[in-house]
Amino acid sequence: MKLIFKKFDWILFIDVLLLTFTGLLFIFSAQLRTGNPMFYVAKQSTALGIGIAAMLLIISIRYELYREYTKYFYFFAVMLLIIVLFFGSRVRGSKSWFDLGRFAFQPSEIAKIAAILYLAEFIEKNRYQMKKISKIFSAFISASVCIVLILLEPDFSSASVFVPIFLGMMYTGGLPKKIINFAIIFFAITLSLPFLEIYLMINNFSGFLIKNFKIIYVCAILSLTIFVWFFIKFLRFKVTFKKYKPVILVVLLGIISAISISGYLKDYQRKRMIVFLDPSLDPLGSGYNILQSRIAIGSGQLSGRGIFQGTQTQLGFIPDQHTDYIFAVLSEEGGLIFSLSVILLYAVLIIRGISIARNASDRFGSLTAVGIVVMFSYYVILNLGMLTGIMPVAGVPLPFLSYGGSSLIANMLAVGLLINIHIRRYTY
Amino acid sequence: MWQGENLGYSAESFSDRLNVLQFGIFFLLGIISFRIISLQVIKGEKFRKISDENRIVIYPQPATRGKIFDRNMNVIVDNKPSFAVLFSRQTMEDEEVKNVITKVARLLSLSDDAANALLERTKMIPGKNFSLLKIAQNISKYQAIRLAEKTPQLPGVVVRIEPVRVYTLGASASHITGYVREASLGELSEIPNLKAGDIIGKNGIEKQYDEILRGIDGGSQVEVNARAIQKRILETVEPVDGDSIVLTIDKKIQMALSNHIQGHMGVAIAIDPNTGGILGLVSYPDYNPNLFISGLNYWQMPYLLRSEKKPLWNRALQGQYPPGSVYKLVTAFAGLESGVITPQTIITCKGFIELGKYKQKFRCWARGGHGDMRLSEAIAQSCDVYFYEVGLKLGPTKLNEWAEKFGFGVKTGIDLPSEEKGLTPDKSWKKAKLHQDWYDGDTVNMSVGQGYIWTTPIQIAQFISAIANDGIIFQPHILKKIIDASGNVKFENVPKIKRKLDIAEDYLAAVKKGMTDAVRYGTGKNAKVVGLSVSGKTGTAQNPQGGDHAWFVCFAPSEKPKIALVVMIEHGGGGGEVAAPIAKRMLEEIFEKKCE
Repeated sequence: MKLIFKKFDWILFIDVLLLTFTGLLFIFSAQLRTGNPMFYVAKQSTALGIGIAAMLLIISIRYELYREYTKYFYFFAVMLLIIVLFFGSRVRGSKSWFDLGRFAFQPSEIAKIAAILYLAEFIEKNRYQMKKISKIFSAFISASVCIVLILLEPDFSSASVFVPIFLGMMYTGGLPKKIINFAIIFFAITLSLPFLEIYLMINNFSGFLIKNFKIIYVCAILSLTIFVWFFIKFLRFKVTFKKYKPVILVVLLGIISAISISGYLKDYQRKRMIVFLDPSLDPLGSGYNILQSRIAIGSGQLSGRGIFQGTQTQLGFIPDQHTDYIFAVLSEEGGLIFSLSVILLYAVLIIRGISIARNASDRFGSLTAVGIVVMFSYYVILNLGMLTGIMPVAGVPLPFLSYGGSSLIANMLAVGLLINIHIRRYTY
Repeated sequence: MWQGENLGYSAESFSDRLNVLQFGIFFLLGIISFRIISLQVIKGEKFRKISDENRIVIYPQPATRGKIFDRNMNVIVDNKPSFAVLFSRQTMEDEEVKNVITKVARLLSLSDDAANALLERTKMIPGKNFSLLKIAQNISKYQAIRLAEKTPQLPGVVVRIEPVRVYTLGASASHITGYVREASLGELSEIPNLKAGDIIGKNGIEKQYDEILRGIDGGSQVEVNARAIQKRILETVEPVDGDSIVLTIDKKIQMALSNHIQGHMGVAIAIDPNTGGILGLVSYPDYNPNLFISGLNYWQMPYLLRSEKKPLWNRALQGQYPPGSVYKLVTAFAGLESGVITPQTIITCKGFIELGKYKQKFRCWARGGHGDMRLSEAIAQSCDVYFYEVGLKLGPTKLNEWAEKFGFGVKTGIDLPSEEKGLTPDKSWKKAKLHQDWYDGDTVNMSVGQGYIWTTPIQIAQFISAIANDGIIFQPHILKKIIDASGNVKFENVPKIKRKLDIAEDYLAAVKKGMTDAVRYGTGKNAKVVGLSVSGKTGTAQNPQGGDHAWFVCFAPSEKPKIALVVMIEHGGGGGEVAAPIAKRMLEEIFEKKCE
C-alpha cells in the first residue's frame, strides 16, 4: 500500500483534478442565468466522488489480473448495449441511457473501456500473428459490434470514438505497414468525397455537377487512377499490375463506402457538413451554434471578459453551455490564459499517458494506455476543433470539463487504469 | 524493455509507432492552439465587437410628428394614439416565423394575399435578427387586445401604441396638408437620416416641411439575451419631437372655399393681398388624407392614382390654364404704363377687328359691339376689341414684359411642392416649338389671355393680390411660423416683397374702377354681395380640351382689400355665369353677409 502511494502518478491525478475543478467552475458560471447554478455542480461533484472511489478500487487490484476477465467485461458491455436498445430511455432522440432513478448512465461509456481492454488483450495474445488477415478481421469485428450497437441507438459521436481507438491500438500493436496505408487511403476517400460533394454544392460550382453529383465519383475514380499511374511512371518504379491491383481495390472500396455514406447521411448531418464548410450560410439555423461559440471564444481575447461576466454565456447565446460547448464559456470568460492553460493540461494528460505506455511492463498495459490516450485525444481534438470551426459539428463532450456524470466516472476509471499501469511498471 | 524490440515482420518497434502517434496528436493539438490564438488575439477585437452587437438591440422610439395649425391656432393636422404591431424574428427558424405570422394574420383577419405579403416582408428584416419590423398599424382596439392576450404564444410580436396622423379637416384641406406614408426604397436612399419604416410626408405641407415636422427618433440600447428578452437598458436617447407648423390658412375661409367648390372640378384660392399669405386653397376633386393612415382598400387606390379626375393633383399649382379675359388686366397695365393708352383713351368697338390682307376677323364676345369705350368701361364689359387694339399697339414684347413683371411664366415660389411655371409665349418660343412665325393674330389672342398662354391659378392669385395692394408683389406663402412642442416660436415667416411695380395711382384707380363696375353692373354682376364692395373680373377661356374654363378673380372690400379670391372651374363655362356666383357664395360665407 505504501508502495502504491509512493509510485502513484501524482502529476496525472492532479492534472485531471485541475481539469475537473475548472469544469465545475464553468459549469457553475454556465448555469448562473438559470438561477440554480449549484444543481449541476452538485451532481458533477457527486460523480467526481464516485469516480475517484472507482479509480482507487481499480488501482488497488494489479491490472495484470484483469487480463483473464477482459472477455467477460467485453461480453457484459455488449449485453448492456443490447439491453439499452430495448429498455433504455430516450434522450434527444437516441436510446442511449439507463435511467436508474437518481442516476442515469450511458453503457457506451463502459463499452469504450471494455473494448480497449479486450483489444489490448487480443493483440497481446496474438502479437506474432498480427499480419494475418483473419486476426485483423476478428479484431475489426469486435470493435464493429460496439460501433453498430451504438449506431443503432443512434448515437453517432459515441460510436465514432471506437474508430480511432481501434486504429491507434492496431497501429501500435503491430499492424503491417501495407494494411495501414490501405486503411489511410480508404478512410481518406470515404471521408473526403462527401465533403467534396457538399462543397461543390454550396459553392454552386456547376449546375450540371450538382444535378448529376454521382458524376463526381466517376471523375474522382478516373482522376485518382490517372494521377497514381502518372506518379508511378514519374518515379520510374517497376510496378506490375498485380501489385497495383490491391490499391485499385481499396480506392474502389473507399468510393463505394463514400457513396453509401453520402446516401445514408441524415439531413441534420448534411446540414452540419454544410455549416462546417461555411457557417454563415445559415447563421440562424444550423450555423448559429458554431458562429456563436466562435464569437464567444474570439471575444474573450487575451484575458477574458471575467469569470461570470461573459455576455455570450450569461445571455445564453452559447448553446449547450455546460456540456459540449463549455470550452466556449471558458474561453469567453477566461480568455487566452484559460484556454491555453486547459490545452496545456490536456497535453500533460496525453504526455503522461504516452509515457505510461512507453514504460509499461507488458504489451497489454501499453496497449491499454494507448487506447485510453487515443480516446481522450479524440474527444479533445474533435470538441475543440468543432468549437473553433476547423472541424465539423459533432456532439462530443470535453473529457473532465463537460458536465456528464457517467462520462466523468468512465474517464476517472480510465485514469485509474493508467495509474495502475504506471504503478506496476517495474514488476516483471 | 520490450517496447524497443521490432515488431517481428516490421523494422519498426512499438516505441517508433508510439512516437508517430504522439506526433500526430500533438500536431493536431498545435493546429487547434494556433487557431485559438488567432481567434482570441488576432481576431479578438473583431469578435468582441460582434459579441457586443449580438447582445445590444436598438429599440427605436419614434419622434412624434409636429402638428399643423391654421393662423388662429385651430388644429388642422393632429396626432392620435393608435395600436401598431411589430415583429422581430430573433433566432426563429423560417417555419416558426411562418407559424407566428399566420396566427397574427388570422387575429387581424387579413386575407390570404395580405398574409402572404406579410410573410414576404418578414423575410427582409433589415440588419440583425432582433430588429423590429412594423407589420401592421392602426389596428382596432379590439384586435390589439386580442393580440396582446395571445402574445405568450406569439414570440417576437410586440403591440405598441404609436401616434398616427389625424387630418381634422379631412378632404377639405387635402391639397394643403398632403398626407404621410411609409418611405419608399427610393426615398430611403435619397433622403438622409431615414430608416426603413419611417413615415414621411408625401404631398403638401407634410412633404414641404417634412424635415421640420418629422423630428429626430430616439431609442434605447437594450441588452437582450439569445431569446431577445430584455436584460437591461444600456442607454436611452430621448426622441426629439417634430416642430409644429402654423399656416397662414384661415380655417373658416378654407371651409368656405371647400364648401362651395364641391361638385365643380376646379380651384379656389384666397390670398391676403397685404402679406401674400394664402388664406385658403382648394382644388377639387380632393381626397381624404386619413385614408392613407387607415389603409386604402382595393377600390380607393386605383381611384386616387389612376382616375381621369386626378384627385391627388393640386390644380392650384400644377394645373396650367389659359387665363382668358382675366389677362385683359395685364394688357391694361401694359398699355397704360407703356403710354399706348391713357385711362381716357377711347376705342370704338364695332364687334370685331380685321387683320392682315385676308381681313381675318377677330370678334368681340358682344357681337353687336360695345361702341365707344374708355378703359374702365372696357374692363367692366370685358370688351375684347378694346384690348385687341391695345395689344396690337403694344406688340408681344411689351405685353410679355409686363406679364413677367406680374409674375407670369415663372413659378411663384409658394412653399408647396410640385408647382408648375406656366407659359408666356413669344416669337422665339413659337419658332422653336411650332416652327412658325409670330402673327398679329397671336398678339391679339394673347392680349385677351387666349392662344398659347398658360397660367396657374396661384399665379393669377399673386397677380390679383398685386392689383389689390397697389402694385406690390408679395411672395405667396403658406407658412406663418414654426413653433416647438411647448409653443415657443422658432421661426416667424415675415411677408416678403418680391417687387414693387410703381404703377401710377390714376392708372390703378382706373383699372380698379373697371373691376368694381364689373361687379356692380358688368360681366361680374353675379358676384355682387349685399353689404360688401367687391372688385372683380371674369374670364372665359376657350381651350382645345373641352368646354370653356370659367374664371372669376376679385378682391374685397374694394376700398381696403382684405382678401383676394380666385375661382376657376375647369370646363365650367362662362366666368360670369359659373365662376362669379361661386365666388359670391364664398365671399358671403367669409364675410358673413348671408342676408338674402
